[in-house]
Amino acid sequence: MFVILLTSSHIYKMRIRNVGAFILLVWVLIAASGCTHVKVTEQRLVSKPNMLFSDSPVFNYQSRFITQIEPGSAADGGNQGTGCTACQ
Amino acid sequence: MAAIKARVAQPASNLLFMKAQVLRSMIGFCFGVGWGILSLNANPGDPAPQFELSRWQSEESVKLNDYQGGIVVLDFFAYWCVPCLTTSTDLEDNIQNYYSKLDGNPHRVPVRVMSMNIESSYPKKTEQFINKTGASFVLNDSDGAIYKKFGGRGLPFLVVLDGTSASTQGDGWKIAYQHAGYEGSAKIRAIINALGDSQFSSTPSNDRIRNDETSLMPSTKASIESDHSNVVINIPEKDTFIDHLEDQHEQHHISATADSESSPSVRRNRGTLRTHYLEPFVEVLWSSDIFLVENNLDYRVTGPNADFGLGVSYGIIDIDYEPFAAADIVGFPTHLSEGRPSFLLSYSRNLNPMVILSATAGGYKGFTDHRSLWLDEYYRQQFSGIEGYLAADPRGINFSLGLRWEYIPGNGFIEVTGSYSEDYISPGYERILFEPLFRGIDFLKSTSIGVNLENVLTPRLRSLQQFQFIDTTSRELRFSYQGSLNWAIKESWVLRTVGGATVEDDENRGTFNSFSVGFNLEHDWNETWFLSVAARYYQDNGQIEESLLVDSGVPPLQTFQSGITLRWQGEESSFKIIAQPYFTRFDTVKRDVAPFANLYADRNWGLFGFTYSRRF
Repeated sequence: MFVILLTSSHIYKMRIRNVGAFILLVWVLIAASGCTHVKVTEQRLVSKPNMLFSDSPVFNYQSRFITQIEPGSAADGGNQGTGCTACQ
Repeated sequence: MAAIKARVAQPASNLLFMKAQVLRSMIGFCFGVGWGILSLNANPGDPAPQFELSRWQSEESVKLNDYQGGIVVLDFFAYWCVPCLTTSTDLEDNIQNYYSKLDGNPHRVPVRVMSMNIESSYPKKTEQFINKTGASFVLNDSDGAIYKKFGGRGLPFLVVLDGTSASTQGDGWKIAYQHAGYEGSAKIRAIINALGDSQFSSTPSNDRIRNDETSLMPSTKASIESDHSNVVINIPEKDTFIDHLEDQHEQHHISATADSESSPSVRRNRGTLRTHYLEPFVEVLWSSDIFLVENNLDYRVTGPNADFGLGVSYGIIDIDYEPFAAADIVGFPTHLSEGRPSFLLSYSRNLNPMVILSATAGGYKGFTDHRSLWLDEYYRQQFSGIEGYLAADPRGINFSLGLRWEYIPGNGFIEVTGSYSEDYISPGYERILFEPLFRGIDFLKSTSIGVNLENVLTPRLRSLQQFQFIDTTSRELRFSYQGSLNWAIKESWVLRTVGGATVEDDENRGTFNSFSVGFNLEHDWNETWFLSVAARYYQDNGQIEESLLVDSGVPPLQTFQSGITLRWQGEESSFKIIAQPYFTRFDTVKRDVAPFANLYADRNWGLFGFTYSRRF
């Protein structure tokens, strides 16, 4: 699906540049992540519940309304992702 | 000319080649380090390293070869490791006690679970952990030396050692199984049951063991102190390993009964590794003319190999609609009230110890936000009597499929998720004189691909990088990034920072961009009460919309948010209360957006939220 998406005719140079930069950035970050290793005996602090990126709403620090108010903060696709509630 | 071209091309291609080589080497090196950590492991079938460790809160020393002829299960844990709690509990119940009752595995080979504590600080918390799990035989591997010898990666980390062929000198111990994360007692039992088959098929091992006192006697023949009841059991010189296990079991049973009063739920959970979570939460956001509510109920069940979740929610939008009279002579004030039910199903499954497949499916019916309802009302008041107008029926569905590779379990993963959604929206309308009513797009298809990277950077820093590309009908490709960095400043202070940016570039309409930064500083007053202050800033340069007469796109926006959060965390329950003011500030509304001047008016909001979580 994404191959079709990326090879469709409405791809502009900017888009290709963005994709290229994105792939490079991801690879650099992956590589950098692979370089890091913290010994398990030193992971006590980073394993505290409030240090984790949890799915639980108790540890989620962002309001759900943010994505409804701020067009650039929506993480989902579709309607909210574009902020396009009344596209023309 | 061709020669010149060749000379010019040569260095360029060499440069490219070199760059590629350097990049490849960097990636290779870094992955090599990461992968090397994993591949340092001793593998099943390999000889097991010997060790000698002291027991928890005791001077007593224990050698692996004290259990020669038996099977030893090493359960590496730390008190702060949440999954370790259920793992150690289950191992004690369904491995240690199970085989104690049966006098060993089917070939009568005795089994001993050793809980290996790798955390030396906060012994009181470790003591609490031991009491909760009922771990009956705890050893101190405080510097993680043995964990490292076995190639430990992540917690919990389990190793099954086969000592059925071990000699009195300690040779012959083999690794039968090792795994980061717990696959359940059924898997461990299957491995244990297969050990000692050929060797002891003719002679029951326990008989042999009972007759071989010298080789199987634990090193502490004089006394063994129970780990959680401080009762000293005197073991006579002639006691065997099995007798010792039985005594331990008996002692454990006593202490487990005592524990059950202090920690009933942990006891109740014994025998199952499924943990259920029920999490209702409500958020309210209000201003002088808009009142928004989100009611949610999330249910999750997590197991050793699969998780399932169902979330249902109901959103309420209440608006005192007020047209901007100067630009809207047709409109009239009215009160709008709409509801939006929605659901989200999620499922994830371990394909192997390091790869997790996840899928979600969801749907909703109703207006997703107050702005779309406001715009819908505007168009309804303007055009509802005109041919071509159709009442909106907003709804949508969404699906996603993701693959996560935990290259350092618990510490580092990369996750790629593809999503697809369909949204029927409330369209915009335009009417030019002598032309039929123009109805805008009311159906959007969106595909997105997201990449998440989480990593522990230092003993105090954990990061999450999130990238996403979204392609939506009639829009340009949107790229968004969010980076989060959590910093354990001190023992009881955690700073969570987050920053994000979004770019959507259109050659004709211009570029939409936004960014946001925020932080949350949390202090734990004690083990249960947490208080935090937070602040956040957001800014964008206005939404892109292509229209002929009336533009409903959001003007450039700035928002400010700050407030406090109070969180209480108990054994199985927790709750959170948030109270925050929230300010939205728009740029001056341009002439073509004028009909929506009241919608895009500056507002001071109040945000209140309550969340409760129950684990059972």
